[in-house]
Amino acid sequence: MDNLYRDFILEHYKHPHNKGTLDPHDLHFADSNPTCGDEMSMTLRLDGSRAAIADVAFDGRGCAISQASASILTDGLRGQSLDQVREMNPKDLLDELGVPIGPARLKCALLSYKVLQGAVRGGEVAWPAEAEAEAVG
Amino acid sequence: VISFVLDGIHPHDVATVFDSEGVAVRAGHHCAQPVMLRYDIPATTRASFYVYNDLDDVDALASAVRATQSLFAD
Repeated sequence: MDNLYRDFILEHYKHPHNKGTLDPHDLHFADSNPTCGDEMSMTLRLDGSRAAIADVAFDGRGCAISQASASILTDGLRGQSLDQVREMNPKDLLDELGVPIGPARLKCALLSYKVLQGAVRGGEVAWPAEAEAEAVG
Repeated sequence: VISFVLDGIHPHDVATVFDSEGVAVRAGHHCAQPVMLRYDIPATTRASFYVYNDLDDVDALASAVRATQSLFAD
């Protein structure tokens, strides 16, 4: 079967981690990928220092790639400082997905990254250059 | 031309799995966003037939539908 949908991705899609909305929360951002209709929001709670992430949740609807990517991305966020998150390399997320993402699906894979950056930077950020790449993997 | 959705499976995922099964379809809004809103769906998958298609292609399409449903079954 298709490489892109190996068990790891499908498992995260069918049983996503950190799905929902944190209420109350300190940071929030929502964005969409208009070309495919994927919608995603993220809420984050900061720890006592106000400089690191205590808890995170994402919500939204979309294809398996975008939802699995958000599940995997949010899994690694607790305890990370906001500075670390701002400097996160989108390529690391693509690597973590562990499957070759074709050019047509790069924005699906990176929507969660874009929403997260919007939340920790306080406003919308441009698509990372990786989302425009010809092919990865 | 047949536009369709498979319950619980995003049309872009459908198209990607179809592709891996050797079946080429179009997935998206088809420049008809108001219709997507009307039916509350993100997009549809669309299969079209032309003079070079035969019954084997129809069987391949049906088989790709089953393969996609079984891949995404819980």
